[in-house]
Amino acid sequence: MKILIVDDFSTMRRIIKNLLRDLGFNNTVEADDGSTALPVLKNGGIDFLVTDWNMPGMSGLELLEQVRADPSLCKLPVLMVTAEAKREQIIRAAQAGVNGYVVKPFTAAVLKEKIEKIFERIG
Amino acid sequence: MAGLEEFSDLQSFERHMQEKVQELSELLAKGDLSAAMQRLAELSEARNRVLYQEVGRLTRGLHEAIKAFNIDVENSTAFHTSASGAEVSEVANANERLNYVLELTEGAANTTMDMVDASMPVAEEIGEQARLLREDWKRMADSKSSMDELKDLGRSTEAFLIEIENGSNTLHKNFTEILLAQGFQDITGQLITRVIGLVNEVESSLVNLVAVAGKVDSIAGRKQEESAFVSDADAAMQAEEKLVKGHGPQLHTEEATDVVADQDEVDDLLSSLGF
Repeated sequence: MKILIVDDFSTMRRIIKNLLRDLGFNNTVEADDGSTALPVLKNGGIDFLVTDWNMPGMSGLELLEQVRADPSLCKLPVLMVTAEAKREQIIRAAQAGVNGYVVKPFTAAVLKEKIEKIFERIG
Repeated sequence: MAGLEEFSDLQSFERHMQEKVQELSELLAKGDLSAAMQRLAELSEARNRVLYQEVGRLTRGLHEAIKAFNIDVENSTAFHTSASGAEVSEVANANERLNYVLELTEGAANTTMDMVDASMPVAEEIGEQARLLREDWKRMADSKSSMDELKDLGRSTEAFLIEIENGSNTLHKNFTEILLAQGFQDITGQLITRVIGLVNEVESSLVNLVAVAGKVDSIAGRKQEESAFVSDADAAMQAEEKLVKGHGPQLHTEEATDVVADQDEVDDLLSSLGF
């Protein structure tokens, strides 16, 4: 299970990486925005995407839309971990095909729950 | 000559103007054209002077605000940029200060996480040793052990206690460092407060500037045009742009109705959408 963590703040990437490690996911790679994440995804081998929303360059929502539009990536599970908290945004992310949505600040328990739920659903 | 005094505010300029106009109309009524022209010239001169005066006053106000931002933080030992003492524009440095805030917070977060990384194995090792020792003691209690076995157990218990002592020292040291790493909050708080203060002063100066500009326009006899018109299509496009790129962290989530306050509300919203 290889996970790509996309966030423009290295601190947040590190926190998520550590939390994922605690959950038993040791194989993680990082990118600092959508435009650097997309080539990594297109190269293949990523099984799960955790992304922030508000980032310079390509935002998390744009990244999600690109992923869903790409035939080779469209099935990739995507969890959004973001400080974006407007209702219209959550609805928009859901419409764009996000698999889970976690608002910052979050707890390790919430992250665990959402990830488990996603894997449960996609089997 | 009357009218060369500084106007303390725009009201006094208006009063001055009313007096002059009064004089002007009296002179015109008397048919003293040359004196009337003199009043007109004085009026025009006063108009120009009040304009320069207002611009000058605003410039001074802005300058004071910017200089006020310059003090104190430079004296902090934690702020190690070159304090040349020269009077530089602190607006230019505001960005740098905010970048420094980023740097400090990132450094503190990493230090804290380094210490957590270093402490977790210590705690785990102590727990593991305790578990092994507890099993040894249990075996001891369950069976008839020899004196030698009892001595062995005593020695391993002693070793374990030493390990707890050392581990406790390590944890104490690490926790202290975590505590110290939070010191960034003090400095970043100061920096941000100052930037906020500067922004506020610049804002109120700009508001004044707008008010003066309005006055200046009326002094200059120009009508103001409504230029703040934005078409619905433009507004919709801007809203979409904001939505896609993100609004940033939301403040006052409890009061706002278009914003979720916590993860539970996110979950409720998503489940209402069939998630």
